[in-house]
Amino acid sequence: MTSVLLAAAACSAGDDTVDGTRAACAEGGALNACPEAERTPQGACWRLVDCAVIPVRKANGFDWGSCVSRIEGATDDRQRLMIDCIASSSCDALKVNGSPDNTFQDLVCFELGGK
Amino acid sequence: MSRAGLVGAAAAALVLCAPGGELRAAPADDVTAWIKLVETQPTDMDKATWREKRREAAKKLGQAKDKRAVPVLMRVAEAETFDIVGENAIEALGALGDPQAVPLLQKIATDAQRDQGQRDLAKKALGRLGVKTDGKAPPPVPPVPPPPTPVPPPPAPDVSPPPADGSATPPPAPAPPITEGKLLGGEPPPSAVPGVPVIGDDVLAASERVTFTAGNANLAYDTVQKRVDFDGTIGAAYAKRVEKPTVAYGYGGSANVVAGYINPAGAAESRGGEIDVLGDGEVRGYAGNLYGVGKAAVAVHEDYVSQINDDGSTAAKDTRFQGDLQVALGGGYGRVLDVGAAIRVRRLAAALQANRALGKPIDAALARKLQLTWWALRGEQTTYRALLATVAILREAGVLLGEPDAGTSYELLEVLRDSQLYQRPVGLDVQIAVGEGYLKRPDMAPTAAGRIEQALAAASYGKELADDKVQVTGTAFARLRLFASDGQPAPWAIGALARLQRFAYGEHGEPLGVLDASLSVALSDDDVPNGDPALGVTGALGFTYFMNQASGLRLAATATVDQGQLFLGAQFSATYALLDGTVAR
Repeated sequence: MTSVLLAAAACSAGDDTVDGTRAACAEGGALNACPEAERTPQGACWRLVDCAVIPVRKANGFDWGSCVSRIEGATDDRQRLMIDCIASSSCDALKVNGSPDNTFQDLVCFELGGK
Repeated sequence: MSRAGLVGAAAAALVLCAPGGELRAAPADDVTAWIKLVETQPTDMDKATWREKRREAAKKLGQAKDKRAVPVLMRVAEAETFDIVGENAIEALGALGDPQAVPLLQKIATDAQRDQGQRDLAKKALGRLGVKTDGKAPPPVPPVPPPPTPVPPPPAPDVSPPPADGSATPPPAPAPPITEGKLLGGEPPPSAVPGVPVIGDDVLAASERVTFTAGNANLAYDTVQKRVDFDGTIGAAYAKRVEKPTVAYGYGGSANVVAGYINPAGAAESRGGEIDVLGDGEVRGYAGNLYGVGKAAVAVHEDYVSQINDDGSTAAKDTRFQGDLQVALGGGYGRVLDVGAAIRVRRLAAALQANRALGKPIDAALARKLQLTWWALRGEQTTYRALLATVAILREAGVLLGEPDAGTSYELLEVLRDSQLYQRPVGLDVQIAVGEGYLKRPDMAPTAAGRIEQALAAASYGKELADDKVQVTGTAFARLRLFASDGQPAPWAIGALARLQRFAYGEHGEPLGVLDASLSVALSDDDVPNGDPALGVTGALGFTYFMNQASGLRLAATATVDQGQLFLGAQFSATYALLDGTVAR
């Protein structure tokens, strides 16, 4: 089996932070309910971008790519916890102070996956 | 070859070689062979061929002027209300001129449940017997005599599932004579056709979905370091929707629990969990294609996390609660219906047509009955009862000509098992609404809390093409926060997703794979200082193909451009194998 994922930076804002596009459920509560995210590290991290929890890209910061690395670098049980937590949470439940520019340590679903 | 097989083969050969024209007095052996052929399907003859030969044999029995044929022709005339062999038998009874057939022919001639053609033929046959048809009720029909020389049937194949407890199967009851095949175990027991849900005749579509997921549940204990690790996810969802011409409503709910206890070596540990509960509902009132809509949603979220450092100190301990209570009012145009069950009925009819077993089209009432039966049996572990019930219903309605043979049964089963026929939306629905709600959020949370108003728009579209093997769907959304107080952002977003799916099937209706292409576009603005609208575009193309029961391949690629950042993803997986070939005695 072959799986390839490539992220290429084309252009970005002057502060080297690119927030990303929001989904319908990023704001507004349960009336804008999200479908569950794809239960893969990539799918879970896209959910975080869609919800304005993390940026698509941030130089020297926690962004989509580092989110994927964070999940994939964990043990299987921790991966499952983080992905399942993100997939079943609402956007508001995922957001923390400073979103989308905070660091991953504050994300509840990452805390659930252990230090 | 068995005795019955020899007789059948001989009969078939006789029928095939019989000269054209009227036979005044056929040899006695010929008549015996034709009688056998009419009564019993030869073991070496397929169902479709037998049907043809049986019809010819019934005709020739009428021409042979041999009164031994009368009882068998009476049985066929009485039982075969849809196959043309019944009409042949009625004509033959008229030609044979035996008065013992009169009561039966009178009954057929006045039976309103019978096809008009059969009734007319019965009247004509009565005329040949010198009986006037005055429309009066016929005298009671004496029982049709049993076959003079019953043919011992071979045992019917046992396709019933083994008992779940592994207990011995009780000896089967003696098999009844083979008339219209017993491949599926003969006439199904009464329980084969279940009670169906009660749904009004005015219901355009209805659906009910129940899903339980215990995605992961892992518990490990390290006996050396005496450590326990646990992680688990469990969820449940329910949704029901009813569509009527003037009203439509739907409601549902879901609950998810995620919990874990991570305990690596040392003093550090992490434990926590979250629970999410969501409920929502919608009511529409229609005036033509326009409708007014009211919606409501309620959600509760609670999470708890505790982390202990290596030195035993507490790194984090947090509990958070969120609650949503929202309503919305609006209007729209059109509706989208899930027509998966209707497609399944069409494929069922196509399978019967291909096997020359479709006696007449499946009408709307019968289609509804089939769909409700499948609904009632959706909780079954296997498709066995659904197949029995489907065959019984189709036979009772005269759609299925006789008991299906092995090939037809296989194709019916493939249709009933086809998971690609779920959630097949058709129609157009456009809706706008204004929502009002109260959101309870933790103090200092970075999200909007308290009263919140918003404008919402949604659209969905679905169409089936190429004999239901191509599906085109699309969805769109838009949201805008209204009446945000000073200093509060009024974010907005708009987006659309278009998707095309091409379903591939094998020669006998086996699902072989799907080609899936989609394109989504979204534009949003968080309405924060120094923020700009963001644009994201994602395209995806995937192909899944099942080469055989042990082999398949999946090729997929995605490309996303979000705010100028390009993300490419690709996946290829392939497995090729042959199932084991084994022999044992």
